Amino acid sequence: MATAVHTMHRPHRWDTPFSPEMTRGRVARVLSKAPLNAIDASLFPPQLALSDIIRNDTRIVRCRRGDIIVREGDYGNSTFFVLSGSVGVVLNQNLAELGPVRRPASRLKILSSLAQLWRNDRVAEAREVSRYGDLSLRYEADAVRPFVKDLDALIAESEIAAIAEGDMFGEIAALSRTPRTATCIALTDCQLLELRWQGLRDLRRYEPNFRQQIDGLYRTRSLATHLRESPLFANLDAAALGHIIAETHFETYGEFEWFSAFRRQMEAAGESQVIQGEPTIVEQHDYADGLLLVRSGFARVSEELAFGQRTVRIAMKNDAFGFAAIYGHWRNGTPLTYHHRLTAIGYVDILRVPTALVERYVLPSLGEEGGRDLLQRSDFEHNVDPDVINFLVDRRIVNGTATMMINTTRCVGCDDCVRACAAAHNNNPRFVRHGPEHGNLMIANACMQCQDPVCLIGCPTGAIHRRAEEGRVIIDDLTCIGCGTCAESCPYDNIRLVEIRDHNGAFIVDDATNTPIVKATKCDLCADQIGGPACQRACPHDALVRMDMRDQAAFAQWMNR
Amino acid sequence: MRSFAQRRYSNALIATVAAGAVIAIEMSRPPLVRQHSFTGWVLMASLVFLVVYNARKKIAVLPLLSAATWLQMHLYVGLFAVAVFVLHTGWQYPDGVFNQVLWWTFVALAVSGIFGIWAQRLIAPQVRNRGEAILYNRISALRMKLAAEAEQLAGHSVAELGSPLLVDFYCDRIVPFMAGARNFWSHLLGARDPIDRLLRDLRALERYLNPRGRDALRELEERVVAKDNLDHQYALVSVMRGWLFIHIPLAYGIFVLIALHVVLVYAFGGF
Repeated sequence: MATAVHTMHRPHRWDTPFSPEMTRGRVARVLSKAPLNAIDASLFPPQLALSDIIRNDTRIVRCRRGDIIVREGDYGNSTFFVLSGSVGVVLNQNLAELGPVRRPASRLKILSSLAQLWRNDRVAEAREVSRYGDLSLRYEADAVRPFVKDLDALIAESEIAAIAEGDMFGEIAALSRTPRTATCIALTDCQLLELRWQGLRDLRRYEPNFRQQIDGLYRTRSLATHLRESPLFANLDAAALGHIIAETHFETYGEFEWFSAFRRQMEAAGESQVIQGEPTIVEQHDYADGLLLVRSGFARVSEELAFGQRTVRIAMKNDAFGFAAIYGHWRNGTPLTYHHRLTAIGYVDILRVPTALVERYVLPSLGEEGGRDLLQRSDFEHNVDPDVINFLVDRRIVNGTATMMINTTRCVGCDDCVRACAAAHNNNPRFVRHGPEHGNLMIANACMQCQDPVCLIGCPTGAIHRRAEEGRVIIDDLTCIGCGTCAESCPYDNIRLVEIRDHNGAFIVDDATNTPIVKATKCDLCADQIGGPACQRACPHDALVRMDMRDQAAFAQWMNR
Repeated sequence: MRSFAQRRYSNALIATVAAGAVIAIEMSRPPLVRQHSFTGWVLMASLVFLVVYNARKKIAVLPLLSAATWLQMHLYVGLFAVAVFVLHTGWQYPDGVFNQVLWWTFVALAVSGIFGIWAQRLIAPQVRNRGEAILYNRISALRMKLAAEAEQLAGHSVAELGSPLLVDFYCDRIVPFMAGARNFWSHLLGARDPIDRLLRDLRALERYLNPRGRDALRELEERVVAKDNLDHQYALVSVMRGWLFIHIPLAYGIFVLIALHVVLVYAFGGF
């Protein structure tokens, strides 16, 4: 008997443009304006023509005076060009809570949540096929825009940098896969061109001048913003801070798409040798010529042990490296050399503040107590077996903000976690209770909600994206074309491609080729469920936890429980 | 985050105080009016609460406290129920057949629960004693894969050796060993005698084989060891999962008996 099938048109990139408003006329008008008019269209291949990128990966955003365009802390997947009007970057105020409350993620109500117990499909990976006919539903496309009620008062009491017609903003978050570093508001009624990051990636790839321009902006703006938000520089006056900003070096280590090299190294040499491939930022005992601030990404702090390196801790965003060396030299005249080695894990942005400036401005401003406090924090090591730290760093588990960790001495294999996950996802578990182990610690194959979600990099449609509200990485099933790029990119094998079916169990196949339609799936941390991840809540033995690896103290506490 | 030890001490203290309070209340009543109705209803309420845990597990999608919190409450209310049961029965084995059945059902329920916790806490750390843990429902597939590989190795050796020695051993000893889960109780008790005997007998053939045969033997030995490790995990995980097939039916069974018990007591107990 032939297997029943349901046919549909296989989805492709640009089946659904970012906005249907981008007609050929609008595209031509946009391309005639700065800075896009400087782009050489002949550098783009025919299948990725500049006009197609603009038509499919951009949209016009019209803002009224006072509208908040992007907010500090939100995760953004796009950059903006000012087509007309003026936009202000608020430099010294956090406007995260200004305006209406953030658009809440849609969550199930209690009764709908309960109804999942009997409403869930009996067949695996069932989908409502009729929904694929209308792809006008796109994430964030219908965002409600908050606004500042009294813009004049805000302008009067804040430091605002104006962005004029022809300039761009928002590229830092779009490129570094980090939260927005500043809030931008419309200073006048204005028209913006929003370019989603898939298009930005293609423009960078094919147009060297454009790449240089936006990378330059990225470096300059990132540097200024980061120094402003670091507590080390909190007590400095504007002149001192200005001097430091002028002298600080911006450095980048590792590859933007580091996961490919990492996979190759793991396969070729195994995890204990991964450290050999990590770009060195500073060597232990090197002359400490600067205080190093991690702007984004992670770095391994290690020290020599016999012929190898013992990982001491992980340096993450906002961590300072070299403080102890500089402070010791300034205070007690100890040799000015780094106490540890620092290597890049993945892709790391580093700010190097010259030692002379740290000694001149920063250390005196901290006071005796503040200096000692920072010294203690910089030297702090959590009570965790160094081998465990090595394991977590070597396998890049430190990337996770919701890593599924299982204590195997407590796990009895009851699979309540798997059942709970299935109940919350239409009877489809979104993780496998299996994965790399070290001692009694297992890292299960569940999406870790990475700080640096490299799975986003190759997605041609933006189906996999980071939600602005809380930073969760989600796959939009409607826009996923099943190309598998995200699954290939994920260094942890936590994304799966599944063949979808209708509610009767019939496979859905492409009407042209008769091959199955596949979709990428992964753990979404129960984004639409009340009460958060069902797996953790369902574990009766306290064996399973979703751990934010940025909170090293919480991890140490859990390990030593 | 409280340590497990701290949690254990505080929960045990709460359960002990609660049990002490029930004993004190019961003992404060004059012996002639002490009809055990108070302890009976407390016991009944405790059992209802204990059963609710199973319902909570079924609706994991709702944030009704974590399952771990529920399990802790289940454990200590269970221990509390044992104390109340002892008080309710007055340390005596009942006379009537019905009450004896009820008594034994409760005891079996309590013992199976205590066994379950013991099994889970003590067995879980041992599952990985012999290599990486395998998902329970994949064990049989892996077992079949190993059996197929062993069969292929034995087939190779007969063609290359021209001697049926290894194949005979394979047919007599390894085929039955590979056919399903073996040495269940030995694995549970931590005894290695059966697998040691099989490996010893297999290795004894080595001196009679040519180099190709010895290679085949070593590969066959690897499969046997891998299969034994699977059996080890299967036995342990089966116990960790299987005790619930006794505990849960007993839990539902006792409710039927309690309902009858209440009817009988109120109908014929002189209340």
